[in-house]
Amino acid sequence: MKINVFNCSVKGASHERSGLPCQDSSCSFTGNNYYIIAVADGHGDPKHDLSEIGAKIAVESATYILRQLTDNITKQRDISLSKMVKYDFPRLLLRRWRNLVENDFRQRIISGEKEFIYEEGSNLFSRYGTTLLAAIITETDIIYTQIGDGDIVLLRNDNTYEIFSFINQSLVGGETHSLSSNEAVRYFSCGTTNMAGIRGLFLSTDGLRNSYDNESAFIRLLSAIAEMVDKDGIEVTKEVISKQFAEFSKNGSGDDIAIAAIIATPAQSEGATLHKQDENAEKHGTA
Amino acid sequence: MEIPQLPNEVVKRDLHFFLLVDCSSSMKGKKIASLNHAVSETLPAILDAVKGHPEVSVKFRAIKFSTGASWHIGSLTEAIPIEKVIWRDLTADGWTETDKAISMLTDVLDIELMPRRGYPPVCLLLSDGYCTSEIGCYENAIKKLDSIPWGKKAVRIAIAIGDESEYDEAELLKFVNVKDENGNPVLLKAHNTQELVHYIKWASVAASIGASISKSKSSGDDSQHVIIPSPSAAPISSSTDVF
Repeated sequence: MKINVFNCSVKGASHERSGLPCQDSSCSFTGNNYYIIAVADGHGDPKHDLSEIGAKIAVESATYILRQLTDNITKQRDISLSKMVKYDFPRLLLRRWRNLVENDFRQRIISGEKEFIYEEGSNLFSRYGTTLLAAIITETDIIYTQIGDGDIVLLRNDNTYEIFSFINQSLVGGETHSLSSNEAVRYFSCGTTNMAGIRGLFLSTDGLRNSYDNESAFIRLLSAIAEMVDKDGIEVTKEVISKQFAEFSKNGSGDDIAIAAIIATPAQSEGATLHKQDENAEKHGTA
Repeated sequence: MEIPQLPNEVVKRDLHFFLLVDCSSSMKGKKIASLNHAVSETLPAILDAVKGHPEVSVKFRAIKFSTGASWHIGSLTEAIPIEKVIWRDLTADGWTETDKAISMLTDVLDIELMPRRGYPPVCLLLSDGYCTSEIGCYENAIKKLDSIPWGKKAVRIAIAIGDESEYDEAELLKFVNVKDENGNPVLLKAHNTQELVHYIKWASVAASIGASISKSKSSGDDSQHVIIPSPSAAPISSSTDVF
């Protein structure tokens, strides 16, 4: 079995029309015997005017923290990675995200790009507000974590699937938990599953799921992506996704779409062949 | 080499539009006739307005209320694509049991019936009078509507019809949950035919556009999520047109 990793972010139709940037971000990282994937959806409301930066910082921070935790686990083998992700990741991630957000904003003040207007009770972090979904995949386990909306889907080789997304039924109409919330640490969810029989693990922002009115059609799309990676390779699949997701947004949610995934392919498949050169090299991609 | 394709099964996102129409006996004559005319003119205007947002599919329903309330267009489980709606003229008779219409709206906005992926629903209440149900019924109906996720998130606008002494402004304001860009609650007052036609059209289009461009935001932020412009002035009419 060969593990293929990819990520892709596509600007939504409504942002194309209004001249706004893509506020979703995605990231993938291939480490030594592990993989990290992450997506983030910067809030679209005008008060979150720097959310595309917040989303980029979120996926990069998630990758950084998950790498640190993994390195620690190799040194302290008595602590499980899943426990560290559950108990330490939210706090560490938020600390790093907030530091980087403050740095970014400071740079903007220095360069005169954004005027700092202090209002009583105002929240700088809110301007960078974003969701985050991240997963680390080891040889045996998948550990995933999430704050805010978006989807985590696992496909298995026996054509079954599991949806791990944590949906808050009381939040509708675009309202979502956020890294910028004062009590964000409370809104993280975390879970673990095993790698046995895995075909693919997908993280995606709600722009993708909202383009479908039923779960079956959404799962068919993810299965088709896994099949395409197997048959045509990762680069072709990424190219197809970039083009077709823009169309999906136009006729579906209208929203930005970010996706990050790992796909397991048989060792002799096209996808595996194309990726052989990266086998022992660390690879980091952000979109 | 043939470029591979992913299955394209995407569908537009629904924007559910609800009209709650007062058909009590005080609406008889010019009021109900103007309302029928206005709604039939408004349907193509909404369709036209959302053409610039091809990812939006407007689904329409109407609840009529007088002595009791019932579905006039659509039903609890069926919303009609706006391009397929044929407006059947309403007639007026009976009491003004507004609470019954609001309860029906609450039922249909249930999280099990209203898709999570949709835009905030638009709800337009048209009335010329007081709720005639027992004391407390109207407030209870509003309380239930306010307690459900889509009830809170819906864009709720009202149009008061006729002389200000004939309707209860405070009561209608309890239904309204959005303010225009100047901070005024979107309760429009139609004193005559021209104003009624103008406001029904304006409110329907403005709220639909506002809802369809609403964006994601952080939970716990109770500020308004939909931007509604200030209403444009209705055409000037002669005094003989007053209801």
